Amino acid sequence: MRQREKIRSIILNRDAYERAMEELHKLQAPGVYSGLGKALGWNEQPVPPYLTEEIMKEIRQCREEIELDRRVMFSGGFLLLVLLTLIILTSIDALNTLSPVVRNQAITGFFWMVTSLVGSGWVLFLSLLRYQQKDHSRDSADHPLAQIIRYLRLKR
Amino acid sequence: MTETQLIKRAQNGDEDAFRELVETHQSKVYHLLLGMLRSPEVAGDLTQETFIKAWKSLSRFRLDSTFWTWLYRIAYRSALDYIKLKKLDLTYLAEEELNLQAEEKAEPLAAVLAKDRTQELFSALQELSFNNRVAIVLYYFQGLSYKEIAAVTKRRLGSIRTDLHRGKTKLRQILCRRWGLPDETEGEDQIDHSEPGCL
Repeated sequence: MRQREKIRSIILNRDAYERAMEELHKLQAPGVYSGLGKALGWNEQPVPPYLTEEIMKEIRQCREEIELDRRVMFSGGFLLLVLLTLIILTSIDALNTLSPVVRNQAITGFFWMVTSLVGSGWVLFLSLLRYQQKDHSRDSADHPLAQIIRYLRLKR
Repeated sequence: MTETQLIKRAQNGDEDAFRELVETHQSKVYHLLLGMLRSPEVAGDLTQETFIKAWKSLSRFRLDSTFWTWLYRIAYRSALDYIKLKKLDLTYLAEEELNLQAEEKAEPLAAVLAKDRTQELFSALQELSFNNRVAIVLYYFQGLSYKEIAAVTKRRLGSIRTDLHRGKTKLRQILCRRWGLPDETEGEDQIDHSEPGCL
């Protein structure tokens, strides 16, 4: 009760309050609970005991998901490559049956289609990379796509 | 093993190293979030979220700041996002949300008094706006410098100084009002009840 009265007298006097707050700033640090801080009510609260285990469990799940994503991406990429090879081989076969003029036109069209696809993909990749770099300066830890979704949700 | 070594091992996918980092810093992050949001349940959930985000982006941590400052930045942003997503008016959160009351079982008098003080401080902080509250918690109760607060919140030093001054004055006014003490600063920087919990 004496401590409480002391705190009251500090709060009552403006200068004493200013001094006490400056003293508090000097005494406190992350994870440090000084006597003055405790007297003001900044006591250490029990951290939920399950927290570490929950965090590690989530992290293990994340790793598994990332591993699965990697496998899916690899399989998908491989399948796409096989399909592309098949399409090219079939196209070459089909091209051979065409007259030289039409064949040249088809090859030119095919070239520009592939170039525009690669170009668009490259621009998209660079934009994502730039976004991620900008994102890093903000120290946000979300995936860029998750951030875009969150931004849209907040806008709404 | 030093923290830098632990971070580097965790960056290489060592779960045990990350577990050690979690165990070292979880209390700091939890108390920061508790100070900002005052709900133990939400603080627990957001502490979890903070560490998961930290794990996911650990490869991007370049050791150019202390690990806890980086964690504080993630925690602060998580708290901001939580408030915006839930559209919370945190100033007037119901008192029962504060799950810090003394437990029902009999406790020593000192423990009960300590809990009472915690309750009083947290409910006084509750009346401050989010920015004032964050400045007070980080500067006075976590002992961070202006520069560290600016690094955590990504706000200007001038704004932090203003928030701190306002927060400190308001906190004193609130405590005076609650304890029925005369307030000599009355009229100087009165609490504006018309803008509750504005960010």
